[in-house]
Amino acid sequence: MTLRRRMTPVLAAAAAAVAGGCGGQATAGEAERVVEEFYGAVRAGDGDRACRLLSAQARSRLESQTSQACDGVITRLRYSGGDIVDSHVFITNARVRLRSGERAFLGREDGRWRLDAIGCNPPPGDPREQPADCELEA
Amino acid sequence: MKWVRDQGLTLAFTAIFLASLVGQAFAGHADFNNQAIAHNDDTMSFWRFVTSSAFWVDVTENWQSEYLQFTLFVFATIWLVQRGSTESKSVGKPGRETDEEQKVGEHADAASPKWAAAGGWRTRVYSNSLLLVMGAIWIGSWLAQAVTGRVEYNATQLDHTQDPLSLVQYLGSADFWNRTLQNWQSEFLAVGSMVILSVYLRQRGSSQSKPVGDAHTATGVEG
Repeated sequence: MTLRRRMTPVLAAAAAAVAGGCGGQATAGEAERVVEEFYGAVRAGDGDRACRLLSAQARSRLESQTSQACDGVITRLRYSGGDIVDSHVFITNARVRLRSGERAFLGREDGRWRLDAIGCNPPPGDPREQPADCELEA
Repeated sequence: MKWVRDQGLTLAFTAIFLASLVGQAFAGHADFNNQAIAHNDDTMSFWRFVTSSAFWVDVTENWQSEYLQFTLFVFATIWLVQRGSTESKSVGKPGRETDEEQKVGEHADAASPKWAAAGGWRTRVYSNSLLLVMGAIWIGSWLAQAVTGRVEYNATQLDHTQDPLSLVQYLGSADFWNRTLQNWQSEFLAVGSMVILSVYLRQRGSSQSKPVGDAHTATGVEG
């Protein structure tokens, strides 16, 4: 079962109320769909579709690091994959966590979720204090 | 016009509060988008920003410290005095004072608020209503700061591929306490400054000052 949390804007200080619902704002479900589509593209060997789901900065980083076109290398990176366990959205950033422990980090680009970091595993230390170890990061 | 004159302080400060809140919204929106562009992220519409935690954490962290300042000051001035200060009651009158001095119950007069005369729980509640309301607003806005601050902090966490914090974890975080204490120190400094400066300095015509010619030792006197 996929756990979803929505970003909640606070309406008034005195009440400290939290308003649920995003109504047009970016949702965790949309971020999860991007991640599912990415791993589906990787499994199918469709590098072009996988690359279109990366952020421009991530794509650029991959191509500059490998000196190859994105679609030629994206499906050859190391991924654990797996079912989505949970997702979080905070303002314009999202994280989707897979059952294997692998994480994907997304940002908003042109009104859509795009992958900023993929194939990320928890660091040796506290993952709240240390950045993840990612196959690709913008 | 008489009504406007009689409510002048409230109206003036409400107006400049609203103006500065709107100004903060515009400045904050511009600042948020400048940083988004620098990080190659999407910018945010004005409406989206003013309904986001990014805006409300900056608002509520200031509100909570202001209402804490008033809560503590209202409470402290029951028991503590400062000789010579306009912010203090007379040196010889610490504590909650007598019913007669406070005009409650049978000592209330025709002009007293109803709950001052009512007795029982009504008088008890009304006797502490200022502290209760200030305290409630403080707690509410501090909670709002915690909730919205966690969202904004976690957005940065994810941007750095770090795990997000739960609300309980965030309450113990350096970010929460840095936001909280940077506001508290300025509020306490302001109150303390006003208490002692009003002993020796004057502003003719202000209710916050003693009459210019009053002695430094004159306590709890207004201009």
